[in-house]
Amino acid sequence: MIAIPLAAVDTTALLKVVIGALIASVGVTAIVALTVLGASRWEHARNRGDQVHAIAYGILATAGALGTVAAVVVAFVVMTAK
Amino acid sequence: MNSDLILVLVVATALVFDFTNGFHDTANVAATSISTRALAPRRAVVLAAILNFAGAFISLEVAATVAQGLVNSGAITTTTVFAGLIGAITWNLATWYFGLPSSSSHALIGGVVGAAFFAQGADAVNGQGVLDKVLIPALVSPVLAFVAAGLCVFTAYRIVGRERPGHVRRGFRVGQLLSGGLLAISHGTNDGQKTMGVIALALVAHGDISPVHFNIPPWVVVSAATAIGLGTYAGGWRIINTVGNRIHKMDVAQGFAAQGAGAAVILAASHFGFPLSTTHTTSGAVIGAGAAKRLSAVRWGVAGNIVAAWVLTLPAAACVGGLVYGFTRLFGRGALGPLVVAVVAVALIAILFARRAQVARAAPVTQT
Repeated sequence: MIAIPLAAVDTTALLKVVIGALIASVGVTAIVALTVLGASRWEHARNRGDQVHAIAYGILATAGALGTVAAVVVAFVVMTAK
Repeated sequence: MNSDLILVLVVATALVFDFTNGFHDTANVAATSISTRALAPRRAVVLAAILNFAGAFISLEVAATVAQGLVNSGAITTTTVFAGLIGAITWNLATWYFGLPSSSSHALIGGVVGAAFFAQGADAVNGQGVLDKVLIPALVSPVLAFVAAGLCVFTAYRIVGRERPGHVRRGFRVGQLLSGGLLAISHGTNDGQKTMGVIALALVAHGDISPVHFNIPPWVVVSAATAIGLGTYAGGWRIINTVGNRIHKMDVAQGFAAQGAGAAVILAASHFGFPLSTTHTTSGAVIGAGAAKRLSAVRWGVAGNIVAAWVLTLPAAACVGGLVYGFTRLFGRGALGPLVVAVVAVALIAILFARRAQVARAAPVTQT
């Protein structure tokens, strides 16, 4: 007879997985999308000769790109730290 | 002599399983990149193969779970492991034949658990381990990936929905290279190790490894990583077509969302010690990414077939594993039974591939 005590399932860890996965996936998507938005509008502003907006969107795109790289590094650290 | 021959058969069968695991699961890591044209098909598959190979070296935790956490390793014989592997290979090839993404991990676990149950009874199975490590993640991971991918698509559309399509396409294609790379490495980390775990289980049964001071020999790590890498390179194009095109037609934002959510779920689960099926996670994410855009965009019939294959995987592989074990016992406890099964299996696999190649030549929509 196989005894399966359902109460022994670690629901706290499971909840952490759910929250961690949702935050990580939506967070990284938002960062990449903001990078794309920044790059797209930077080019548009530069073509119009709008220096102020070009600088602002350039900063957004650069920060987004750095954030994306940081997310990849964190993911790799999580993988190798098991 | 007999036990040595069975061990050689087990190791060879495990590596064949690992190869089928690779080509069966190529779709998990390459289908979305191919579908959205972020990468050319062959390039996507080569990249996936290299990263899968590399990923298999990162950790041995999953291998230890398979070898120690699901069945009582003291009650396992090499013939039991062999029968379980045949059960897993049978299910992998059956689902590949019909182009269905199903979990190779569940096929492997089902096969080994079924053979162990048939051979030694319920005491050989660690019920709590199966619940914690297999059943709960099997229920949670696809639903979580579905929701996460849906939220990602919603987020992406909200932010870049009014931007020029050309910029959005280029940006998310770069994003897909990163998310696809992470997915491939995490797949190698998870799935490459499952075969290592099974070979280790056979080595324990053969007396080469102590179940107390458990360690995986380096030759097992290298051979398993190579087999899954080569399998991934071979590419299961039928399943790639199902995941990449038949569930729904993805745009780049959806492709990125599906891969990113899949990678996030796999990494979060691995970090907190829940091994899961990369197939369930990726397919759940692909369906979620489609449903978030428009429910009717998803071909629910195809999605239903995939879910049915998921549900059937554990019991079907367990039944085949049990039956194969029973068949080998007809020839006694020696190597003759596994040898006969191995010869029959090789012949059947050759016939299956020849038939598939014939069908592919007649209707060249997909490759093998």
